[in-house]
Amino acid sequence: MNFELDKVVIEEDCRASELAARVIARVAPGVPIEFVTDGRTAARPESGLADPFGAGKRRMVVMRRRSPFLMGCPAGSSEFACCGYLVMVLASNCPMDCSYCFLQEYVADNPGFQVYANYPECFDELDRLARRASGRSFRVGTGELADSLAFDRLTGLSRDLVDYFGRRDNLTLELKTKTDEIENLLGIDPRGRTIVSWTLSPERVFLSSEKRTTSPGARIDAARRVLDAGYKVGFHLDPVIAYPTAEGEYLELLDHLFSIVAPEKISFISLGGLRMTPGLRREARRRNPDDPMLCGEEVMAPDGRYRAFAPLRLGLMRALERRIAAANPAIARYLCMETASAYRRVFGAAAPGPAAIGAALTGR
Amino acid sequence: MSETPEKSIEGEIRAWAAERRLDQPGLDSWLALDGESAAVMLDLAKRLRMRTGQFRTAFEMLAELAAVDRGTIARVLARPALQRILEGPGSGPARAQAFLDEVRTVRFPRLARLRERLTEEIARLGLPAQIAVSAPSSLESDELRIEMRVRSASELDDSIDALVKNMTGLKRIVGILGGDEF
Repeated sequence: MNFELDKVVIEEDCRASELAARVIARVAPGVPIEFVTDGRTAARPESGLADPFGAGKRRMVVMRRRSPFLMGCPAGSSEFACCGYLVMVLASNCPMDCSYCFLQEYVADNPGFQVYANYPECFDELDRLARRASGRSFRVGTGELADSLAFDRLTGLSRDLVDYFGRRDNLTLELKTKTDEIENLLGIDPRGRTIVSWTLSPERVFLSSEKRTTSPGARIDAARRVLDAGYKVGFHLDPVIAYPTAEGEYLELLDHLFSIVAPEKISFISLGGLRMTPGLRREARRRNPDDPMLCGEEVMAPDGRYRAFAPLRLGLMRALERRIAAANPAIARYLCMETASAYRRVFGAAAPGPAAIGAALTGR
Repeated sequence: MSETPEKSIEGEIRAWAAERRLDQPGLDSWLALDGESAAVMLDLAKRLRMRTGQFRTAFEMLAELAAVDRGTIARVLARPALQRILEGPGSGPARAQAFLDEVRTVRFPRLARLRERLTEEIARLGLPAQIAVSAPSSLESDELRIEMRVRSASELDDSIDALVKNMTGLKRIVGILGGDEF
């Protein structure tokens, strides 16, 4: 996939970095390249635009990250049955534009598509983590505040990451994407330490809500190719949107997935219902007024987010869980941003702790 | 020179919004509608003598229905069930409430059906008056609330007996709340 950029902005301090050199060499001809003293200013919303968030997606800012690269998953909370995921922030924002995406609220004040030139420092943080918690395993992903592979053609980050994680025993990398941008991955041996995961939605959701993403069929085909190249694969049915014909269409999607990727080869499948804070819902609807997926039977849930009313949401997730378990009960499954009570309703058992869920996800 | 009909409607909308203290984002959304929808919203507000909060709620749900239908608010409001209330008898406030209830049923059809089903299931239990069983109002959680009020040991015995006798029905309701019927 080729995502269009309006311009590339490079922080002066990063001019000599490897990342800047790659971007300059690979960016499409005609895309202007500017140099600025402080990349943070270029990441801020441009004034006078109707959609500064959307404009930010087309403005790549190569800059230094001033905060730690590693953080707990921003979706994590003690009120949910979490998976122990760690997030490695190598970029912020995403060139795709899903109507339900939480980034519309989360990075509204810094919508420029930031890529961090000092990313090799994240390897030091990972080494420190691995040393401090030897004996524990960690799943670390780059696909929370950005798509892991969307601009890999320009940045080539995946090669460095796969190589690094391939030499660590207790760290597993998760590259999460809605693209089929896998060419850089195919020539490297992941040594069992990298899971490539795809968020999947039925065709109806893809067409209605997932602008500029690769089609679900092409995502599944890409998964098959990386699997053949030695990678582990996982899938996220997240968000599950409870529109009227959702159950049948999500089940068809699962059947199609299992016909292309053998269930015994799948490391995990996560499920997460659509959830939106009031602020996100307002902004998502403002930016996507014609998307019916944002007007489902959502009500204000106890956690302060709009969610499909509980029986509808839980019933739908249980139907999906049953189909996955029927395909292969050994596929690790978990819920994202749901309570322990919801976990019990869907899986019929108490939720294990985050470490246990995390270990199950990286085990296959 | 006389005003165009559009200008006149806009003026009336602004006047209604000022009188009812509708906030600026609400007014902006109203004025951003297609002309026909803006006019029927004005007619709705006046005919049912809506309070500002009722108008805001109605506007939001009607706009959502229009988005789902990929149509307009005017087209949503043309539905016979809504027209019957708009043109039916009764006081403005009573019709405003009935209108909102009907729009909510149309906007949340599965939720409305399930709420009705739960109400029936709870009534069918035939529990004594000192036991109240209730589901969350918008089914926002899967929690069933059972309240018992007793003033003596024998009332306590009777209440617990009643619950035990109705265990099957109560478990069915708990199952419905957990999604058993979807």
